Amino acid sequence: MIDLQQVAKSYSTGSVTLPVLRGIDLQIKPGEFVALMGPSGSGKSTLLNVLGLIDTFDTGDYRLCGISMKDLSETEAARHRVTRIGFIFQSFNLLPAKTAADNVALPLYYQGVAQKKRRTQAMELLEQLGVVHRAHHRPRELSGGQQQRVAIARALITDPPMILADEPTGNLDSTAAHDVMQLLDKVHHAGRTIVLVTHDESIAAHAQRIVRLHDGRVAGVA
Amino acid sequence: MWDLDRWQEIGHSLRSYPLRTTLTACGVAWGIFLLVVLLGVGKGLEQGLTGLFKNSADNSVWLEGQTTSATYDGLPPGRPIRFSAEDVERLASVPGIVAITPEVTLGRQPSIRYGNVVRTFGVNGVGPSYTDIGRLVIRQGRFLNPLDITNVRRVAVLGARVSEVLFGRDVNPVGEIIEISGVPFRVIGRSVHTGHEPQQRTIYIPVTTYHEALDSNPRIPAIGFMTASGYGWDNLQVPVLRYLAREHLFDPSDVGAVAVWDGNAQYRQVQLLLLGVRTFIIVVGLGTLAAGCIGVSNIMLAAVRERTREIGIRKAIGATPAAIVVMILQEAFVITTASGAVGLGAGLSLIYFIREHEIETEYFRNPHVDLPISLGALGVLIVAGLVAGYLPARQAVQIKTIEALRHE
Ligand SMILES: Nc1ncnc2c1ncn2[C@@H]1O[C@H](COP(=O)(O)OP(=O)(O)OP(=O)(O)O)[C@@H](O)[C@H]1O
Ligand SMILES: [Mg+2]
Repeated sequence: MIDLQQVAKSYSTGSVTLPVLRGIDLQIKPGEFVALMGPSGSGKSTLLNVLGLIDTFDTGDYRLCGISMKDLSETEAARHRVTRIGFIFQSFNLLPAKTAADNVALPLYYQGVAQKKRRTQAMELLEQLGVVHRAHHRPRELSGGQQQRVAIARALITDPPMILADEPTGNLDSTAAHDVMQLLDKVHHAGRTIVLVTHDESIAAHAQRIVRLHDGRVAGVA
Repeated sequence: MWDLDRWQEIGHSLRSYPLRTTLTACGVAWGIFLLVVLLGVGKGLEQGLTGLFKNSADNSVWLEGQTTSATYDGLPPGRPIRFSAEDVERLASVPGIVAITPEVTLGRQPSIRYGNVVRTFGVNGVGPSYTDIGRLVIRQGRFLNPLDITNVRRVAVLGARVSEVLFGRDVNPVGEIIEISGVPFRVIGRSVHTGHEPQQRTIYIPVTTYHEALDSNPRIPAIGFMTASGYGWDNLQVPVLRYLAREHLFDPSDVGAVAVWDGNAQYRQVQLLLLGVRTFIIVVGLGTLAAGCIGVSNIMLAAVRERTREIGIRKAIGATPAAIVVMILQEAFVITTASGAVGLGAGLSLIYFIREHEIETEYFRNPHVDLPISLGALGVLIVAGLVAGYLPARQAVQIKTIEALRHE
């Protein structure tokens, strides 16, 4: 599924160059559930963003489903994102002006799916995730846990083989976090690859494998 | 590409930012409204100015006897100059003068009676050439002819408004008898109602009848004539003034003795004034348009910046840069077109209202709007809105998704 070879990235702010990823080698098999852990600033989010094609890398190579993701144009990146990747953010990143159902349906709009079909699929997913009663509310009228479930529904609606989640439980209380992890377990059992960033060992325990980053390098795999 | 879905998405976006949508809409609508009103008012001003001198042919000259301001041959200044019927005859033979008419007016407007209707209107004694020199257009019947003058006929030609007041709208007054200060006159003609306003409120009778029936003093206060091509007041003033000076004993260089109204000079002046008005309108119009374009650009710029994060989210879930640029362009298009149409409608309505209620003065009448120009202006604003949307949209789309997502 994922094959990283010596992927490196650095930020240059003015004259200072700050290496963030210093040559990452990482393979993730289809259907695998991997947790990325490591101290703050070790590059977890950066790596996940590179995997999700919402950020770029400088050197090395990243193959997704056997296709090189090096130097993609924005348009190509968008095409891969909409078909292969579902992204879940710590801060949900729902569009505030749209209802939960419209937020969930939006990726299908960019796939050119007809409106009626989008609606029914969105409602089905919201039903499965237990937030269908909030379908016509805007994000700010929802609790954190409900917002994250809506965001998960949005990530799942295009039926992508891979789900990337950056501290999806970071803004949630323990009950809501527990619910979200149960959902992700289901998503995993349905056959999807999951890469999840977390600081929480109990959350990471849901994964089959834990990859630890330290200062932009893979420090250990368990 | 232009499916219903996309429009719904746009409607959604526009409703999501009500303040910005309202501001842009108001800006565009206001700009177009101002432009349309400006064009309409300019047209009205133009019509008013040209209408102001509609009662004289461009090649006409009017002379009016005043009082002398210099001594002449031992005579003191301050003597009134009054032309006579003989002057009219003599001037008619001056080379370069092709038509000539006297004009006499009663100092106080006499009462005019038709049946039970009694009103006051101006009564002018003139000659047959008055129609050409004074640009009076006859709609029904005829104007005075030479026989009316020589036979001192009691006939009258009515200004359109006079006829309307006495006989009613759309009634042919020809053949009716009216009384002017108790003297009966037969109506022989009526003018069109589109002419010079004061002319429409005047009754024209033979100058001879005037002196016979209304005012026995044979004075002729004013003489109007038309010049042949190649002639004008410039080269006629020497023979004309020399004749009048000799006849009425004043210094030909005494500018106070005879007042001159030169139609050609007036015409040139009006043309100059019109040029000024048009230039002003073009400058102000382009200024308004430019201000509108800048306004739309600014709002689009702010709008796109405000939506950087939204754009990031849309990209993260699979929107291509092109899809986002198209979305922003369509929003810009919809908002400028819709609000521009509203402004256009409001402007047209106002001009129409002014026109319908005949709100007009001497200098302003009959405003109307050049629709193609207004639509062109709307087109320019729409294009400006699109360009103004496109540049920042392309910029916003080029921001890396991750950076757009971090944008607050
Ligand atoms: N846009 C940026 N410009 C400059 N430096 C950046 C930028 N984004 C991240 N960094 C730096 O890169 C390093 C890695 O950041 P990253 O967000 O990947 O860490 P993280 O492991 O996710 O940390 P956390 O656990 O706090 O979320 C940090 O030192 C951070 O300061
Ligand atoms: Mg992070």
